[in-house]
Amino acid sequence: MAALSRKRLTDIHKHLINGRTAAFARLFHSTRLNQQNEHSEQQEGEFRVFEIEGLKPVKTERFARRQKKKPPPPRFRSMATDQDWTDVWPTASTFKWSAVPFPVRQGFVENSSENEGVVPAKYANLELMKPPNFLHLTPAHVKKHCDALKKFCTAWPEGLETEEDCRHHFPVESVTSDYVFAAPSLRDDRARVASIKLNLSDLELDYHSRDKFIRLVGDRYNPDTDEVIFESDRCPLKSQNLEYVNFLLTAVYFESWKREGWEDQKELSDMESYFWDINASRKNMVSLLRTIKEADEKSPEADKGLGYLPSDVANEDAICQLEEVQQYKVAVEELFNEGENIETLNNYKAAVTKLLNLKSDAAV
Amino acid sequence: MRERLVRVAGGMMKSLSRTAYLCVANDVKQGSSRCLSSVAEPKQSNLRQVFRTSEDDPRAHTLDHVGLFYKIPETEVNSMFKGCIHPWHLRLMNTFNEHCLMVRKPSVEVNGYLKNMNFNHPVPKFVYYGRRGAGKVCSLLHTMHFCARNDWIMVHVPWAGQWVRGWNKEVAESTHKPGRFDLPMDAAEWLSHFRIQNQNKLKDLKTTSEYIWTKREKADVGTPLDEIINFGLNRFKFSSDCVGVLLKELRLQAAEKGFKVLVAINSVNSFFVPWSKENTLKNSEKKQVLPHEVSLVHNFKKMLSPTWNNGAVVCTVNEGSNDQSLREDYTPQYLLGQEGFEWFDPFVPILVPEYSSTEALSCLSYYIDRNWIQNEHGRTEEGMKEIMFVSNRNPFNLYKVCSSL
Amino acid sequence: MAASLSTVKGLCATASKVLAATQCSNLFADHIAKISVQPVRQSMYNPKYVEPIIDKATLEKGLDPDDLRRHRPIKAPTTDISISPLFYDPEILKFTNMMMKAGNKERVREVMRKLFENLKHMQVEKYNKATSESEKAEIECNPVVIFKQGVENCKPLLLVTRVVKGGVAYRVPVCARPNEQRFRAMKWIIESCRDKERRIPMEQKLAWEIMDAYNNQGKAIRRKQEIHRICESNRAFAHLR
Repeated sequence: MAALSRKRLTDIHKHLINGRTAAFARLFHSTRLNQQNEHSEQQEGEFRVFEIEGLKPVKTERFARRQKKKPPPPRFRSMATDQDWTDVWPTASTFKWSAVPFPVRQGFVENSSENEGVVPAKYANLELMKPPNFLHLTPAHVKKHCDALKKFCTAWPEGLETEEDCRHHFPVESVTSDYVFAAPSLRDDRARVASIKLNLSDLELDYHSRDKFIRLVGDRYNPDTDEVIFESDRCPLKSQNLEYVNFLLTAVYFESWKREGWEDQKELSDMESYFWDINASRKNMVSLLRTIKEADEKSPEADKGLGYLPSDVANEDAICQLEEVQQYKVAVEELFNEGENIETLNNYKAAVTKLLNLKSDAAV
Repeated sequence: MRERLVRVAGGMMKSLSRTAYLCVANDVKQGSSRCLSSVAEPKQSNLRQVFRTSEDDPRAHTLDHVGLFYKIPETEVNSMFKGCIHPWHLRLMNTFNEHCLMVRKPSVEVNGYLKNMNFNHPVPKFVYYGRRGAGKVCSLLHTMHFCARNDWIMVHVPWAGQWVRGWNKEVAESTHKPGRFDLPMDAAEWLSHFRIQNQNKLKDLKTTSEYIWTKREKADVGTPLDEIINFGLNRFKFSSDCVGVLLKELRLQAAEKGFKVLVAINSVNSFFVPWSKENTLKNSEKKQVLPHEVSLVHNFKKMLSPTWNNGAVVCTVNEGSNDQSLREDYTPQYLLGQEGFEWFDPFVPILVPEYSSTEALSCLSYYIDRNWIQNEHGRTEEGMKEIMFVSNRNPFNLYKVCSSL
Repeated sequence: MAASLSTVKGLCATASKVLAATQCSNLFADHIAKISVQPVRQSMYNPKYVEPIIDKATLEKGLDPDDLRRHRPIKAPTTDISISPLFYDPEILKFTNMMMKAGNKERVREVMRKLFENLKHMQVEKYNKATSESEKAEIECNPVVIFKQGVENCKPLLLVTRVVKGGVAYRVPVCARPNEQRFRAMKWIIESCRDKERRIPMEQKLAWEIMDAYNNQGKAIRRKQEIHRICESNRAFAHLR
């Protein structure tokens, strides 16, 4: 029996090691065939031909490699447009590029060499996988959740359809929060904070009590939204804080209706807005009008005097009730309270020219 | 000049950019020497009619004259307007070889009020307010011109802020009243300014009461006001008191003698708002002197009160005169403050707005006529539109933009 | 002055042939690109980037569908390149930047504005006070023209470079390139102004200096003439370059 060539031996070793019994069987079969051939030659008594290695091309059986399994086409290719999305994506999960049917791009490219200058698509896009997606909360999902929860809910009370109705019936809004802490103890300190919110116009207050209320409450009042917020976290329990905050509201409300003795010592600098009647402007105006009256009586000039002044100017209140003076008063108060803008300044100018009877051909 | 350019262009090795520039230079030079390029010439005659008015008398200016420039004669500029015009404006006027002012609506309005007012009533007060560079001082000048032509007496303060700033000034204790402070140099300066402005009108005015300066010096009843001014200029120590005497006499005699007094104060808000602590006036004890403690200011404030008649008070409020932190707004009540408003109340606030488009065009045409805008593109309609846009039609900004063109 | 100019001319002629070839290509570029300044350093832009369009009319018209600029990135236009001939002039910009210290452009712009104002005040006053037309024709009122002419008059035709040969450093006259000429002229004007009294504002000193240069007088002109004199005296070394 011809010795198996070295190559063939090593091949056999390899296959034995790899454990590919089928290939081994084939190999063994081919060697046996060769042996048979050689055997038949000898039997005939023919001269053994010397086979020069490498002269004739040796047919080596190529071991067919396992076909790499082709990946199936992505799922979204075969999705119908009218499918139920809630079945495709029932819960929150990582972004799966193959299951998302719409094109989406996310990422930053620094220059045109990176990804040919285009923002990366969804295949293997880490930027799309990292953040939370809300594909499990589409309107279809929400509808399904709502339908499932409906049997546990009661009907919305009648008479509370609009926001105004809610505010009318429930003017005070209490705000609390519950927390669950991720630690050996579940408790969170912030849970004891309680606050109530209400609109100041819902409270019954007159001018003085409203002003006092705002002064007492301080920062808690927001003049832009007319809201008062009482917040507390000084008690250990939430219920205690809520009680305290309700107490605060009650106390401040009733206090603001009281009038203390020291409030009469309020000075001009303490005034919350400008009142013409208590300021120097009124005094100046009265004395000015009196002077003008005297001058007019001394040397009356037709059409240039202040005709609207009454004959008796001793009475201060009478002067202040005049229409021109009232117009002037309103103009000055507006100037201080609303601030200076074109409108208020023009009103003031008109009031003064009317008051002092100043006329110009070029006046607007 | 041209020969030199040609020689340089002759045989020298140089780049074409240089020749290109030289050719351009020649064209532009020709253009400017003719005062116009050939393109602009047909427009010029139209523009000339638009921006000037031959009406020199401010008494005759009406709304029809708004936006037009009128000329102020040299004599009046040297007498009445001396020290009143901004230095940059005066320099411009000197370069143009004429002193022209634009007629604008705010001053025409105030002149109308002054024409129709009742002189028996206490003095009416007018306040010009507006953005920086809008033309408040020029409006004041126009009103002053109007009053001067009507033979009013001018009591004009060029800039009230000067009396409130520190600037290492000499501050003396008041000779008249303890607790007040004098500014000898400023008072003397004002006295000479007053005299120049009212050159021929002070002849008949005499004092009505006696004023004792020191044990040996006194002014008797019947001293002409001219002498009091002289006394103030010679004896700096008493200059502030002289100012006070002068103002008091004017107030008392205005109605009796029949002459009218115009009190024109530029940036009157300096009277009421204290200046910053670093730069302020300091008395001998290095303590801050507030405006109302300065005797000059005190005397002028009396002119603002409605205790006298036969006159008018026209002022401007200037945001630049206030301290840095109090310059947010340009409106009168903000700038005067609470105290100032109460003192001034009731007054007529007159807004001095930026130029309207016609006024701005008129101003630019005037500049072109005076050869001030040299840039070729600036003389075209498109260029003028661009200038108006860039400066937002603010008179001072317009001047600034055109100064580099 | 005429003699030195002719010798300088001669020097230039020898060097001109050498440099004429290189200059030729620049001549037309200068003529076309009047608005843009000759770049001093290489552009930092990727070659793909395309020049921006600033002209409003072209922008409103829009691009052709097959225009390359639809698919190429576009360079950012600089702040200074505006189409308004009111405010932008490359020479003046160069001068402004040269005068600038620590990047304080605002300050220098104010100085330039006041400089032109001063020049105008000087000339327009003369113009408005001149009586005859011939007098008026003589007076140049445009400050930009005066400025440019002043700078032009200060430009040296030759500069000296240091050439070391055989251990000896020679100052060799060489033809000044246009950029160098402009730089030198502007630098001399600025330096001669800075040497003057400190209390006088820069715009005033500059106005005097530029008026002097316009009339071929003054410190900057003298510096140029000195350089020409040195070149004249060192003309034997011209062959070293």
